[in-house]
Amino acid sequence: MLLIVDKLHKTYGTNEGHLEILQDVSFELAEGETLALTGDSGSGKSTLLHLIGGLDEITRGSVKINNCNVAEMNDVERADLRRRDVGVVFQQFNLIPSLSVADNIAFHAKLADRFDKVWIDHLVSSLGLIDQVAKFPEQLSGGQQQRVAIARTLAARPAVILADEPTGNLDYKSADIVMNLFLTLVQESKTALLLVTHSERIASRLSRRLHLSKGKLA
Amino acid sequence: MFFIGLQAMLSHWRKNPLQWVTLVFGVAFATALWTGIQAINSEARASYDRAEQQISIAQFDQIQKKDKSSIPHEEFILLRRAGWMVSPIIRKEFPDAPDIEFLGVDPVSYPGFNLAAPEASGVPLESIDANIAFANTATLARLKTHGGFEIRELSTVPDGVVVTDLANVVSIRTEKTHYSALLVSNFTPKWQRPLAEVAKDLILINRAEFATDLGRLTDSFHLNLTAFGLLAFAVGIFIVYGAVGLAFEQRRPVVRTLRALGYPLKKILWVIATELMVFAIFAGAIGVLLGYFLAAALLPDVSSALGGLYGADVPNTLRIRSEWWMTGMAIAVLGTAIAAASSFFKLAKMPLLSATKNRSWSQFTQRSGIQLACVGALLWVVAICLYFFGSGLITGFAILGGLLIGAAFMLPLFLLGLLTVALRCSRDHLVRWFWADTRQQLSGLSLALMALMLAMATNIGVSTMVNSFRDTFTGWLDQRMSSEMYLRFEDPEMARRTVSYLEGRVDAMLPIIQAKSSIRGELIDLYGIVDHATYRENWGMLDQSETMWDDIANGIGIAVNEQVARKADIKLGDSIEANSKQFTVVAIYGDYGNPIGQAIIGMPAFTAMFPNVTADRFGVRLKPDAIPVLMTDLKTDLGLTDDNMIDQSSIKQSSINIFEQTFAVTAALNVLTLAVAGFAILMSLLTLSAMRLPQMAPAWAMGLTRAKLGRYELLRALSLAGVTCVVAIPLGLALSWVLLSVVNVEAFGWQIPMFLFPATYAKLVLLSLAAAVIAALWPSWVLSRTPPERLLKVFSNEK
Repeated sequence: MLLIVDKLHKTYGTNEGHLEILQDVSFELAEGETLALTGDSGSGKSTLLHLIGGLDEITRGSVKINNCNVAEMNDVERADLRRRDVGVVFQQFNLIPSLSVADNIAFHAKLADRFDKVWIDHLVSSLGLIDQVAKFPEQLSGGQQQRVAIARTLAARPAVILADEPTGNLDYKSADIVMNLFLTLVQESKTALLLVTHSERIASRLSRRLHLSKGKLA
Repeated sequence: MFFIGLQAMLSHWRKNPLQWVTLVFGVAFATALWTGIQAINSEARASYDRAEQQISIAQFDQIQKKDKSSIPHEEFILLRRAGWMVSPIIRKEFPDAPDIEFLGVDPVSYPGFNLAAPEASGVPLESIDANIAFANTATLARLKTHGGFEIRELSTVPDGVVVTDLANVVSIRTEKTHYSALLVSNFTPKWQRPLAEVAKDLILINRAEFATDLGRLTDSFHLNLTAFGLLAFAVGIFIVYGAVGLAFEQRRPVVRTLRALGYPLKKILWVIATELMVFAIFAGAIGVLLGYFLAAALLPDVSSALGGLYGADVPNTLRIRSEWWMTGMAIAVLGTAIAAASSFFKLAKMPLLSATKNRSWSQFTQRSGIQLACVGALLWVVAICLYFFGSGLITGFAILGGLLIGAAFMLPLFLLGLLTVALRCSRDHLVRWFWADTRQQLSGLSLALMALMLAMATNIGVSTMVNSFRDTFTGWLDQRMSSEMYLRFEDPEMARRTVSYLEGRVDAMLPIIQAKSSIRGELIDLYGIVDHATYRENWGMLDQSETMWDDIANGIGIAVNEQVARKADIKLGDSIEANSKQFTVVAIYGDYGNPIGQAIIGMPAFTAMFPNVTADRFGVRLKPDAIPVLMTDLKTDLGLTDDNMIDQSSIKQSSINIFEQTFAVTAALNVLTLAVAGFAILMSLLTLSAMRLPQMAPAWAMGLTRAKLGRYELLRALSLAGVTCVVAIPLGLALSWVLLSVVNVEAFGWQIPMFLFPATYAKLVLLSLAAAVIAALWPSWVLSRTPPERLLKVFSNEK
């Protein structure tokens, strides 16, 4: 199994005491499998994604990716995990504004030591970015920026992609186009996908679905 | 992986070249001003060191005749037998080269030679022989003839001197038994018979004491320069702090993205540190180069000032020295590190999932303003405590530093308060918007405004000091040099002939007669003056008794200069001893520009103490229009030369010139500091203009034209700079007061009264405003030419 989340807990200390965000969350994800994570705002979807991606500290429980427990990793090991095994697609795109589109797309692949020009050209072509590669992110529309972010993640060929409402910032039409391209390319690259979404329609297109409510899997 | 991160980080500067230019030139300007000063200091110090290593007689105590005549060989023998380790020297003009000294030394007893290791002394002992002399390259080039000597090149011989065996000099003039002076070895035992017992008409001139005074004064001069260099460096570092702070703030989202993509934080910090250090080294190299040119431009003034004021010999050409080159690079790296430290640590502690929203860099809230102002107030308290409880030159500069930096820290809160009051008092909606918008800009501009205030206050402070100094000095010269003409003689016979020639032709002849003495252990020049209305009517005193002139004329009173009064703690009415005679201190007078203690007694008392000393200089009172005729007559009838006669105005002019040169250096530094502050404003405004669109677009949409918005930008810069300048005036005056009342007294031993120069301040304010307007013109123009589509983009929903 590629990803095993076991009895995961996450609490935050607040002025009013401990705030439990995730309680006893367990699930698994196989290689190439796509999983939709739905739930209301504040249900803990993004937090779950951050914990799996090693972006935040786990309070209790474990997250195993390729049999390596993220909970036991230090900061450097978690950075190594994000570089090699995990790709994150953010709602806010998080492109590097001072790098061109081409450099942004190649960036993660180079970091992971998996730079493959043919694969990147294919991604650029498939995502309709051929005319945009020399531009800078600020010169692109939101939809185009998200395509660049998707290309950057796929270019690094991670074992699992964690996508946090990647089309949440786009209008309906653009969201549809971007999501179609995204899912097609994920399928093509045989990468596992854990996608956080509000949309029932998008969730239905993935192989499995989990619903998170008040920090617990329903 | 390192280079991939570096590429991402460097791309920020490629996209924001203005920030890069601000950073690099901020470091470069700061380094240039610092290095320029250090270059001047190290050149001067190297020349002092060289002088110490030279075959220079100036480094030893000397025994001379009180009347400055030559010392017979018999007296030299008497002194040696009495235990005095003395070595004879003869000083003459070199044949056919009157400007070159021919110095004869006794190589065996000369205290500069080490007989055990003669090579280490610079002169091989065996080479001192008949017809061999030594000179440095420059002196050799100046010699038209070698006077029958084989002159060898020796770098340790001072400029303008040819050194040879004593016997060679004696043979020229056939003066076999008389010496110019006797040098006293530093190893002379202390139990020898007192000098007065051996030979009553000999006097010991303590050169080491004079050297200490000179060292102290030149050190003060260099410390003064260093302090201004440091201040200019601080202004430059303010710019770097702003540029680095903005760059770090703008790159926070990039850092977060890099970390999310698996780039470890430690590596990111290494990348940023490497990037900054590379920039610092690059900027440092530019700065050192600029500093070299700055020093080369200022060095002639410095060497003239040091030569004229303190008699220190500093060449006016600059050599590239590894020590200031390396120090310059180190200070560039250190300055960048200091400027980047807080941003760097904030980044190191930034959580990975922190908000990516851009904060305004060095965001100025009321809370942070209060905190900064509290630190500033604390610095003022420290400065006040130092004034009351501290002492020494370093304390003086610490007071200056506390005063200036404290004020700079308090400026943003003061401006914030002022803008809030302006906003509350305004009724017109456009005026209210203007003040509110100006208040919003304060965060981005506060660093540049602090830099402007520091530069402006320094300008006012130093201008006040220089002008007070100049006014006091010229007033003092008018008092002291009240004679219309001065005569000086090397030949006493010529002096006697001239005095009798002038009897009846001039209103008065005032002899200027002087001998070495000491008061309360301080070496002084003791002057004897005749009782004449010239002194009574013209001389102003710092402190005096009502009967001072009568007491001096009667031989019971003595007037001392401020320097010796401060050093020996002498007060009016004190009883002091000079040459075994008791005097009452009847006056203390200002004596600007003189590092040596001085005292004045009546002529009868002086001649009683020094019967063999004769006047070699005279002040001549006559009608000014009679001077040219008299000068011609003296040349024709008595054979006097121009060297013997000086009219009052030329002495005054040359003295004033020395002071002008001294302050030309600090004045140049002030202008440069102001220019750097102008650069800070320009860069801050240019940087802000890029971030201004979201603030300006709504005003544009509501009907303000782009041209009007541009004009408001200009007005904003002008009003903020104007308020800053007004605040800088009292600060500058306080700075001036510390310079005149604390630093000057510690450094030079005399206090200058402080005068105010409103016209100069008005000129400086206009200059600063002009710098601010020039700096604001371009950003305002850029704003007024912003295409409407860029403004419209602010309202676009699509990101």
